[in-house]
Amino acid sequence: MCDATKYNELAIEAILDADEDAAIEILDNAKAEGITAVDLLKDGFGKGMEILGDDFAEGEAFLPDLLMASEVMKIVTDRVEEEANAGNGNIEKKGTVVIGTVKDDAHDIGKTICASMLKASGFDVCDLGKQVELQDFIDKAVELDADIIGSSALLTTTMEHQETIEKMLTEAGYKGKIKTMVGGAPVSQEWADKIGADGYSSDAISCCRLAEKLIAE
Amino acid sequence: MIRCIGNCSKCGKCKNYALMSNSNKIKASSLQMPSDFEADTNSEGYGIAFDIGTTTVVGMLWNLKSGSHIESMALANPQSKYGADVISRITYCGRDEEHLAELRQCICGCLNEIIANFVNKHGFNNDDIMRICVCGNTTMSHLFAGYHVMSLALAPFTPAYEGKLTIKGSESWLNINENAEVSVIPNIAGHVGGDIVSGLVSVRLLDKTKLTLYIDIGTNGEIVLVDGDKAFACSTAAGPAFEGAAIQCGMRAADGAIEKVLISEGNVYFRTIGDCQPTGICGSGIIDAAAQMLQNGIINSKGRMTGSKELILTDNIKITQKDIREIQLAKGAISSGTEILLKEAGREASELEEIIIAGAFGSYIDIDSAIKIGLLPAVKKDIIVCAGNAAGSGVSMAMMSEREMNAAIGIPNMVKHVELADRDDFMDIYMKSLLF
Repeated sequence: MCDATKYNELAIEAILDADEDAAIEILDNAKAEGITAVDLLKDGFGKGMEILGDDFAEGEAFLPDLLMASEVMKIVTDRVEEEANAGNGNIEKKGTVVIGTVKDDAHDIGKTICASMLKASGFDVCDLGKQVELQDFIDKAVELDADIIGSSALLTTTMEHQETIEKMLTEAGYKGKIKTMVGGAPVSQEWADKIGADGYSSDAISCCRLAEKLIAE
Repeated sequence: MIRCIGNCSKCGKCKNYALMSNSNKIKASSLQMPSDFEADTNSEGYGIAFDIGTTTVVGMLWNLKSGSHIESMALANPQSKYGADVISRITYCGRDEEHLAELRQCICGCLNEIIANFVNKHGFNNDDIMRICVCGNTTMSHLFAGYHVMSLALAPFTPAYEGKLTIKGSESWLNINENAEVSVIPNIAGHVGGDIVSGLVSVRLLDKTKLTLYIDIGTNGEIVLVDGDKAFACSTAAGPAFEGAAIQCGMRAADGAIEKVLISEGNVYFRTIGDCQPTGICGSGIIDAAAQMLQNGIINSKGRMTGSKELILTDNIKITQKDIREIQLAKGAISSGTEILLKEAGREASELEEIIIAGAFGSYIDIDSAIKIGLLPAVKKDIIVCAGNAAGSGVSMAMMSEREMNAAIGIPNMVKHVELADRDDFMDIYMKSLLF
């Protein structure tokens, strides 16, 4: 394998600058030297996402930065998938997450950013959208053999649906097998503990870290 | 993170609660009627118009015989003990059948307190009060009249009733003449209420022939755009940053609040309300601070603090990176709402011919700063006017004139409500509006 170091550094920059053109150029140039997108994932683009995540936690990066970077990351993961299909390498997915905003709730910006970031950090993500019927979370997760159900609720009136999801999951016999994580403005760790959700995260970055932790458990 | 609920006595927003009466006085005093407004006269007795806000209730006493305004009075909305925002009060109602009546009793108690004050002060009887007109956001209107509110907190936020309400004095829970007529100004949608309709009446928005934007900046920002015979309205969740909550050193606009900030040659200057010792920073001060930080390169166009991670105002008061993020979320909500209404009308911000800012807040913010941070579109300053207490003025007008009341009744049918969350481009536009 050729030296990927110089490309890794450029890849980190491309993510931090949210520069799609640069990302494509890096991928193409690296490919010409026999370096695959997968090679640049861990210490390059993925590392850039990690740094961005730290910056976000510090308040230095903001939501638009995350979203724009995740657009760049989409180009990279598409390339990785192409390569995998062509048999030129494979990438191990971190897991599958079914995510959505619960029924009666039409606020989905936060949820959509979480979905993008989860995808960017290597999860298979099924985004059910907003105003999602509670049974659909369960059905989809079972159908896809998902590891995690993520639900978002932005109103104190709709967060109670998250509790119902827990009950439905228990009744269906999947509680513990499919992990749950909850989020949304009025939601807290105390709420997650109260309803028996497996985790709570306050933003897209901690959402990715939580998902990794839940899958490792 | 602990969210302020408005009565914790610990955070900046609450610690000056005792001084709020000053800001209440300000709210009560700024009625502005159009010059051609004529009150109907020659009815017996007194009338009181109420603007029920989530935080503040204003009562305006009128003489029905002479058609003149006597005085106004403001009180804190006692429903605050059930939560600072409408959603938490709706949630409370949803928990128990009897809670709706409890909240109705609570707000009517507040109105009765204002009524008692007027009666005592001016030496008439409760029975002399022959007319009441009430406006409020949709939740407040529902709670005053005893309608179920649950649907207002669940998408698609459908109100429990439409149109103007008329209640007999004896059924109104108010201490007034039993034959008095109590009217509730109609709402436009679940989160665009009768307070906005009243405001539109007072500035005669629907008579405007030029492209005009009406903005009421609050926890919920309501925006209306009029373009010829078309009108569009939306509400947008700005959050409480402009009211000083969710800001580390934030507080309400009361004595001791930093209301103006200037940064010049590396020095930070500020002015406090009442020229008191500074105890925190209020909405207008926060907007100024952000604009000045942007101007002086302390934050970049993405809102990132480029050098030090705090702007020190005093030993105890500072603006943090997180505060800037809160301001970005709040101003982004307002400006993306504006942009989407302009898109609905097929217009550009540069085509705007007039911008009307309603509410007390509008009178205090620095317009240059508001434009600088993108809270208001980049237009010439001279097309921006402040309408003061537009809701209070409008509800008074509707009470005092049949013609104005008919105008209010017609408004909900003339305004197209735009649900931002239903638009596919909302997220993109919102994300772009977060930048400076």
